[in-house]
Amino acid sequence: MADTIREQIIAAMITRFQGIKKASGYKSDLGNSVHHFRGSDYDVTELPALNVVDGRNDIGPATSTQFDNMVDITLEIKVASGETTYKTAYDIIEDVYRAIAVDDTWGGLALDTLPGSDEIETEHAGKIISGITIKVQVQYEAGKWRF
Amino acid sequence: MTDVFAEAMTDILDDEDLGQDAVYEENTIRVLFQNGFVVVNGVETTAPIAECLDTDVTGVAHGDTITVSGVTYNIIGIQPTGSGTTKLILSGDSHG
Repeated sequence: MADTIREQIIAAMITRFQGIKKASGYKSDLGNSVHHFRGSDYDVTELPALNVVDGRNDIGPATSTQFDNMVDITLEIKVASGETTYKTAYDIIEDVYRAIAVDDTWGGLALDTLPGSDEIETEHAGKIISGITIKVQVQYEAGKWRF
Repeated sequence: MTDVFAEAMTDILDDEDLGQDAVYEENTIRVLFQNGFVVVNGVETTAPIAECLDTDVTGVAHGDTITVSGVTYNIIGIQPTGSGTTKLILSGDSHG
């Protein structure tokens, strides 16, 4: 059985984010460490790293047979780059938005991707480590009782 | 600090198995050094701490450095214990 539209969208996102490399014109190499629903902590050598979490999905009727889906996507990013961690955080947020903007329909799978918010939190213990949370919503259409 | 406690702390710091040398402000002092595991923002790292006699770090300030086992750390926290010693919270990164 084919993957659901939601799974295909997430797969397309992961592939797109894996392309975030300095060699491709981005400001960071975030694409070297991209995960989906990662539950474990990171080793510093894995950073910068991005974890894609697709959570709540709100569903409403579009037609009698098609339904609009609005899935919340949280992009959890970790960064540790010494004194310039905050600058790296800015660069990474810019990279992620730039990658989404390449095609925010994810190859035509979605109707649209909507910006939500971004947030940087920094802690200093042993080294400076920032957590970045970017929230977006992906709107797509699927058949009744499809996902 | 009572003389008894001062003597005990000095003995602990001077013990080869417990204390170790560190360089602060070009002076060699004795410290109890720990570099325990912590998780910060979902990332595994270590949080180095050096405990030393108050009298060895008079005037210590955030941003000063201390060298332990050849590694130079930035002092990002200063925690007097109230018992004649101070815990220096260390980091590989400066305040930035």
